[in-house]
Amino acid sequence: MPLATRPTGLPTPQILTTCTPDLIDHLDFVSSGNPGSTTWPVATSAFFMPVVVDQTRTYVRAFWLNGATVAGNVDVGLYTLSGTNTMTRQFSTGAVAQAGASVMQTVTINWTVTPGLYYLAQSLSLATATTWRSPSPGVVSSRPAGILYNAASHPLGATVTVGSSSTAGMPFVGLSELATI
Amino acid sequence: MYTPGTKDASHGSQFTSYMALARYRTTYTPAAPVSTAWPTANRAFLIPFVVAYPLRVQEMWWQAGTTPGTATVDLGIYDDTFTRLRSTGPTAAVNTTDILQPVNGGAITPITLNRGRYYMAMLAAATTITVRAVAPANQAARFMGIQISDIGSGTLPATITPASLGTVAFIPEFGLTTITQVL
Repeated sequence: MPLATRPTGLPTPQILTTCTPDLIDHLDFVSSGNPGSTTWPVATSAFFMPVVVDQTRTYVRAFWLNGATVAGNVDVGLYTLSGTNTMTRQFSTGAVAQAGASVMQTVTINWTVTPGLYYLAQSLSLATATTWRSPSPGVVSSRPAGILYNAASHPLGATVTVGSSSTAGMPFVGLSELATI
Repeated sequence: MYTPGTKDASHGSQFTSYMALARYRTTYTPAAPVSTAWPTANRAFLIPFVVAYPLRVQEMWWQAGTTPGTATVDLGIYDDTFTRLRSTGPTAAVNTTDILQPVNGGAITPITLNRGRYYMAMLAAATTITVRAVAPANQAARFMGIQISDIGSGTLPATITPASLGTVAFIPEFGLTTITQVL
């Protein structure tokens, strides 16, 4: 049954993050160690994490967890995948200066998203910047979770060719329907 | 890719504040809950959860810490417009270490929660109450969508105004259940 008409299953939470059951189940199974402040693996690289939107939702905040060192810029976007490796940008924050060590950073947005499968994307401009990321289960274990990757996409491009992640771990990124978060 | 019922708040007959954590447990260092004083008097904590299919909720509970004291605790359920659906009303705690409370049962008028998004709420009237809680680092609790509301009294209101958790690192252990034998 097409996702757009799926009548059952989990409603999309008001706070939609990369920590969805689709990813957590797999990463919990294979991961070891605790999340923590981690440098961005490659400057300008981007991660794409699958999320499902069950009905039309309007998001007013994008957010992520900063690590102990902030530097450069962050871009958060929402993409759709066509074919096997072409991401098409639906929305993005644009490059935003990373600010506030060890806190959650938020950006005001106004994205109305129709039902479907999307990829929540994040890229950072500098490899000295840190974010709070999941433990490192290993590169191979990230792939079955559906995480895709591009080595150079900052700011996030209109179309991006993606492949399997060459880096372990998963960023914590989210969208909120609530202005207070 | 989606697997219904795994690590979501609709799984099984119990819904707890820690199911929100289970869903997001890779966001924080998984330390065990410990006895913790309620951080601010008359403050409510709102924990989001989702329901995939109709479920009939009958009871709510919270986990006491070392010295729960005798101040009141109010537990409730709100929908995603922050309208109260049910609550226990302010109920005096019993000063017994580490027990589930309310001692005489946290029965609420049964309600069927249909598919949707909800919040479970816990409000304590005093900082002398201790509850079992976790303290996620790095604003991970905020990332989970947990909200607060400073009520000004010990009673959960009919409509509640959420506020950002900010730097507060506190998630109390409480929940709701579809059965009546928890307490």
